[in-house]
This record gives sequence, C-alpha cells and structure tokens, in this order.
Amino acid sequence: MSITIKDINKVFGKTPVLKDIHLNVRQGELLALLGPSGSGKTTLLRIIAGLEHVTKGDIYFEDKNVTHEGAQDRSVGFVFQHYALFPHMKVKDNIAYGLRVRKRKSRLPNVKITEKVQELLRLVKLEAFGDHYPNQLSGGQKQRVALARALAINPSVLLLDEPFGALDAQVRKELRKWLKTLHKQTGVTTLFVTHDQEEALDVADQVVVLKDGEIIQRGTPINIYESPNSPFMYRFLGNANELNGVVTKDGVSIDGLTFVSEWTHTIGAEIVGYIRPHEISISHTESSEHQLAVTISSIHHVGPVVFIEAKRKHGEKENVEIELSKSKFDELSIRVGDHMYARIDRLRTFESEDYCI
Amino acid sequence: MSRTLPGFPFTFGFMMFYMSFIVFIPLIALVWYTMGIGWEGFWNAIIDPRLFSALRLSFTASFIAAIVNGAFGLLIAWVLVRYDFFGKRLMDGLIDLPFALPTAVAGIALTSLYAENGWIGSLLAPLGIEVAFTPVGVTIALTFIGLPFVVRMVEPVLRSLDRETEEAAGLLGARPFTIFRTVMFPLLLPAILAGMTLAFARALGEYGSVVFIAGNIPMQTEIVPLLIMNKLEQFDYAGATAIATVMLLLSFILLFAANILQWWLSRKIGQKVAHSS
Amino acid sequence: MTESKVYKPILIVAAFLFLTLFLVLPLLIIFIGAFSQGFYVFWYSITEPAARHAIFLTIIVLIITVPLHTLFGLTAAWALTKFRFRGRQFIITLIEIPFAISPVIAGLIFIILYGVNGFFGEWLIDNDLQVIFALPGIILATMFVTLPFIARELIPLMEAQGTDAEEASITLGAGGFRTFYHVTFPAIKWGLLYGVILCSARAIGEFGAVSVVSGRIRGATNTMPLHVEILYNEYQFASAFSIALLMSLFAIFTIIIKQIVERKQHLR
Repeated sequence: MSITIKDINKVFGKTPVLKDIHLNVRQGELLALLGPSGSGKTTLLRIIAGLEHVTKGDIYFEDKNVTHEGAQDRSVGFVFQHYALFPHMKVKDNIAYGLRVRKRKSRLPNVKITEKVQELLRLVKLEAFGDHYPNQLSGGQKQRVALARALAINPSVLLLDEPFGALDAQVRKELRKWLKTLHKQTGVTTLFVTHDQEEALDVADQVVVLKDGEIIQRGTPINIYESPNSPFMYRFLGNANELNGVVTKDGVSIDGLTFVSEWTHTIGAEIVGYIRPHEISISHTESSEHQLAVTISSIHHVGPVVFIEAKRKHGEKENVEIELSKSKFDELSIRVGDHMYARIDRLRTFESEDYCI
Repeated sequence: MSRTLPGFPFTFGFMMFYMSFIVFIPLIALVWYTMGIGWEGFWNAIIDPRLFSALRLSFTASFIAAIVNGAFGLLIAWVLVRYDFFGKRLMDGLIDLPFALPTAVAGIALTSLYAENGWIGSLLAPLGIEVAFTPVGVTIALTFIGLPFVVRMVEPVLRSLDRETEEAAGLLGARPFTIFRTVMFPLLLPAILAGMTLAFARALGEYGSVVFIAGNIPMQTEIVPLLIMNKLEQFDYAGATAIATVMLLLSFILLFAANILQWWLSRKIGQKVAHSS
Repeated sequence: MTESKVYKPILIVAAFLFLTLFLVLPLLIIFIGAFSQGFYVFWYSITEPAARHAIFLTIIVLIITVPLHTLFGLTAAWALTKFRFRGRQFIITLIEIPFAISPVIAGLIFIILYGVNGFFGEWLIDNDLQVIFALPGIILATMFVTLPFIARELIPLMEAQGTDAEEASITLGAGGFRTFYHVTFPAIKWGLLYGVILCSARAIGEFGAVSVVSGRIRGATNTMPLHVEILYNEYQFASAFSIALLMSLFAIFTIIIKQIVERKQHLR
C-alpha cells in the first residue's frame, strides 16, 4: 500500500516537532527515516501508525484519508524499539494476539490461527520457541517475535522504530540482512526509523533524512552518500574533512592552491569544502596540482583500513584525515613525521552562510 | 558484609535485644502456654457453635471486604495513576485515612452513619436494608480498614507498566476494554491479589472498627477477636489462647495458599512484573 | 490507548463516590458529632478530668514508645541494610510479625506473660508490681503493635542508598556518627519523619491490644480510644466524638505529613 503524507505539522505544547512534511512512499518500498535524536523521525512514524494526532495535515493510505482513523483501524504493523511484547503470554500467543482480538465475524477459526502462527514462527526462524515466554528470549529473538506479531495481521504497512537499536553489533548485522530478505519475501511497504546512517544506507531502498522536524534530503542510499546537499549532511553521514577557503575568479582557493569547484559561488565569498577521508590519495612526491602539503601526525590501524591524521603545512591548524587500505599503506611505507602530498580531486563546496547548522 | 562501616555489633545487638523483649519472648510464651493447655482443654474450648459461627462470619466478611477492595482499589489506583483531575491530591491523601485513623474512631463513625437513624442507615431502612448490627455492617467496617492495601500495591505496578505494550495491543486491533482485559489486567493481577491478601489478613484480626457496628449478637454478629476478648473478660486464658491458636493457624494456612497463588502467577508473568509488585 | 475520554469522567466519579461513602462521610460525621451539642460541650468533653487523664496517659505511652521505636528503627535499618549476613532477609520479615497478628491476640500474649496466672504473675505479685490492668501493660501492648512502623519506612530507603557514600566518608577519616549524620541522615530524614508520625498516630489510636490489657478502669487506665469507647457505650455521643475529633486531627496531620514527605522525596 502506498502512503501519502501531505503538509503534516505536529506541535507538542508550544514546540513544533514536525514542520510541513510532505512524503510519498510507494507500494513495496523499504524506506528509512534517518535523523539525529530530536529530529522528529519517531513522531512521524507514530503519526503514520495513528499513535499521535497531527496538528495539521493529512495522511493517505492509497487514496483513503486515514488522518482521523484510530490506530486500531489502520491495520498497521508496528515494531517498537523495546519490542513491547506481552510478558504474560507465550511467544505463540503474542503472535496470535492480533488475530484473536478481532470481532467474531471476521475472526479466523482457531485451527487457522494456529496454522498461521506456525507459519510465522517458521518465517522468523523461531519454530522451537512457540511455548517460551518473552523473558526467556534474547534481544534478537524478541525482535523477531515482535516482527512476527506485527506481520500476523497482514498489515498494509510495516513500521519499525529503531529496530536494531537495542541489539549488540553481531546480532544487529544478521538482523539487517534478514530484514532485507524478509522485505523481499513479503513485499510489504516498510518504513523504519534509525539514527544510524550506515544502517539506513545499508538496508533501505530510499532514505529520508530529517533534521529539526524537516525533511532535508531524500534519495536512494547511493544518491544520498554521493551527493549530500548540505554541510549538515556531510557531517551527519560520516566524518568528512572540512577545508575553509575563498572563491576567486579561477575557482576555489585553499592554502593558496586553487581547486575547481563544480558549484558556482559569488567571487570573494568564503566557502567550506568537504572531502571524505577515503577520497584523498597521498604520495611522497609532488606530481600535480590539487595537492596539499602535509605532515603525518598519527596513524591508526583498524582492521583492513588505516586512518592517517595529517597536519597541513600552510593555512590553518586544521588536520586532514585520510583513509587508506592496508595494502596501499604498506606500499607507501608511511611513518609519522613524513612530509607528504595529499591529492584532492573532488571537492564539494558550500558558501559559509550555509555552514551554520 | 561491609568491611569498612562501623557499628554492626552495637546496632545488631540492640536490634536483637529489643525485638527479643518486645516480640520474640512474648511469642515464645504464647506457644509455650498453648502447649500447656493440653488436648482436652483445647478441644473443649474449640468445640463451640459460637466459635464456628464467629469463624464463618470473620472469614466470609473478610473475604467479601477483600473482593470489594480488590475491585475498587483497582479503580482508584487506575484513576490516580492515569488521570489528572481536580481533587487528585485530596483523593490520594484520603486513601491513607484507614491507616492513620484510630480504629475505635472509625468504628463509632461508621456505626453512627449506618445506624437506623444515621445518614446512610435512614436511607436504607425504608428499603428494608439493615446494616448496623448485621453481618453487612461487619463487612463495611472491614472494607474500610482494608481500603488502602490494594490501592497502594497496584499504584506502583500500574505506573511502571510500559505504555508501548498497550499501544502494541491497540495497533493489533484491540479495543480499549479488550486491551485492559487481555494485557493490563493479567499484569496487574499479582499486585491486586497481594493487596487483597494483606487486606484480608488485616480484616481477620480487626477488632476496634468492628465491635461497634457489629452489635456482637451471639451466633450472629460475633467476630473471632471478640470471642477471645469475651474469654479474657471471664479470665479464661486457656480458652482465649485456644481460639487464638485456631485463628492464627487458619489465617496462616490461608496466607500461605495466597502466597503460593501469587508466586505461581508472577512466575507465569515473568520477572519484570514480579519485581515491581 | 486505554484512556478513553468516555470512561474518564465515569471512573473518576465512581472512585469519588466510593471514597465519599467509605471515607469522607465517616470523617464528616466525627466533626459534626463533636459539635452537635455546641462548642461548650465539645470543650467540656476534652477538658473534664477523665478526658484529661486519658489524654495524659496517651501522651505518656507516646513519649515512651516513639523515641524507643525510633532508636530501634535506626539501629535495625543500619544493621540490616549496610551489612550483609545470613538470615538478614528473615529478620526483616520478623520485624513485620506484629502486622500479621490480631491486636487482640497481641494483648492476650502480654496477659499470658504478666497476668495473675501468667509466667511472671506470681513474681510480680510478690514484688508488688502490676503490669496488666496498669500503665506498663498498655505501653508493652502498644510497643508490640507499633514496632514495625519506623523500621519499615527506613529499611527500603537505606537499602536503596547503598553503602558507597558511607564507605567513602569512613575512608576519608570521618567517624561512624559523623558519617551517619552527614551522609546517611540527609537521605532518610523525610522517611524517618513520616515513620515517626505514623508510629505516633498508631500508638495514640491503638485500641484492641490496649483494650485487652487495660482493664478499663475509668480515670486510672484509660487511654483516649478506650475513653471514646466508654463514652460511646454510655450514649454520650457528643463527648465520644469530641475525643475522636482530637485523634482524627492527628490522623489528618499524619496524612498531610505523608503528602509533604512524598513530594520532598520525589523532588530529591
């Protein structure tokens, strides 16, 4: 089922938490609502579920306006961050709950419910745990029960609030993969909330980034990663080097070096350029333009990659962070204190006014 | 045991000395005395239709009072935790009245209210309902003194219940009453039962608030503590002790059963809930 | 999800109705009863010699029971929460025993111990001492019934407090009393206050146990609740309610203290 959100505003007391949100989610999409805490992403999810009322605006499922429908009637599958399983019911009764509370007319016969529960237990790979109580399960297992419970009612939309937030790293990775597969199998329109950019980029087909109650960028994961549209996005998506400079008639001047920017700025404006650590290459000799002279100040090995911090020779005291593969690092045999040249091919620039977050 | 903090020998010693003097020695004396009565004396004191009728009244009235308190205690706890309204603090304070008010005071106040010419009694009299000096009056007094227990047991558990659990049930299509019946009530049940057990135990032994409203008619409105009192007034210590022993044993068995029930329930419901109750 | 706008007023009204019937009306009738024959009768009822004596006896019971129980509560809570030893939980349960025992049985116990035919009966007579049907019996019975009140307020508070701060204080060179006064006490003072007040309220109002051991000799061994009983049984309702009103005021004071203490602890 597709979801259309039109001009949603939400105010808690006097604080606006969502401002003029417009969003279309297509049938079968797997969409991540990404944002730092306090960005309003969970509130948006709860509004879609019907757990919060909107202050202004409308929500449509397909062509049907559901703004004033209660959560009970929206047929939405919702998975809470801390699972919210019913502690006094066995796993199988948790899963069957949504089927059992239906009005007698539309309720499945008991045999069918049992069958459906078995099917869902298989789907979430918990066949052996039907008779367990939630407090006998691990975090990852509880998460899967919560998912099965949400799927039991054949939801038109599946909503997940920080689905991996409370799990440890290993389980988190497995569950991510599993969620992707599950989404392919069921084809249910799915939205999940996360504050972890890596998770959003890894799992979703579409990523919507929220900040201070507004959508600031939307796109495919590749799209979002390749072309962040603001300094905030650069900072939020992962460590990027910030280089201050000035616009001249030849291009962008940083440390007296001139770079070509794909973006047009007024001459004389102060700009900030962003480059990711892995987009910088480095060599012992100066070979072309676009190179910053640096001194290596520290080296960190993290598994197959090496993070190098280098001090810029000219200009300000800012350091540059460079990421190299282990093999490239060994090839160059870099040591702390080496004077080297960092080559920057691609720089995304913003005028300094945009910089203020 | 803390290695650095001082004062253990003195505080422990004083505590044990004090408790021995006030509680242990008297209790041991009671047991000792009971054993000295002998089977025949014990039996003669027990085989008494007045005692049977008093036991029946004490247990049924206490039980009904506990049920009423279970229902209304849950209602009051719900209202106090979930709603904001004018007079909430007043209501919260009032709940503790039965803990703080002398039982004799409660007794005469309730009797005056429910007597034939009292505010409530005069309203009920034309309907043919008599409260004062009947088992109904006993039950009302016992409801009064047991009122705070369920409220105070349920309140913290209700407050600690996860709102998301209710939301989850709602999202799965359950209506408010269904959510209450299937999700919240089972989670509150151990606390409700614990409160009812306490109210019941307190009611069994209650004397002050009951003697005035009961009227103490033999075979009709005599409670067990009153029978003990009667025996003592006749200086029949052995008889009084025998009755006290029977009552202590019966209430002990009952409390034990209630505890087993609670333990079984909270085990079913899981640690999370058991801890908060 | 379960807060429906429809149910809310119904449930609140139902709760208030129930409480009015069981709590508000009884309280109200005490006030009205006390002044039913005018202020003069009220004033006479609480100042006539028998009433004054009952009030005096009650205060004697209070000033012996409450300080001793306070000392017991503090020492017991210290020993039971700041140290770990086998049987600790068992002793905490034992402290609550008086709650589980009918006040009448509590009184009976002291008759068995100190009554004429009791364990120490002969010895007491030989030495010309009287416990039962006298003030010492009343005090003992009251102490038995009110034993848990202060300790059970303090134990959970001091348990929650842990021992880290005290241990730090001791390692920094402070003595035991100084540590208690500066570290432990500030955290428990409101709980202690409520415990003391509640213990006082129960000591003032104890009826069943005291009734058994007092012998109810008017003007000699009557505490306030016993005086109320006698007046009520003599159909002197206005006088009975006058004394009852005095005790009710203390009960209301207890509740107000509890409300204040809960707010203080909540804010902390």
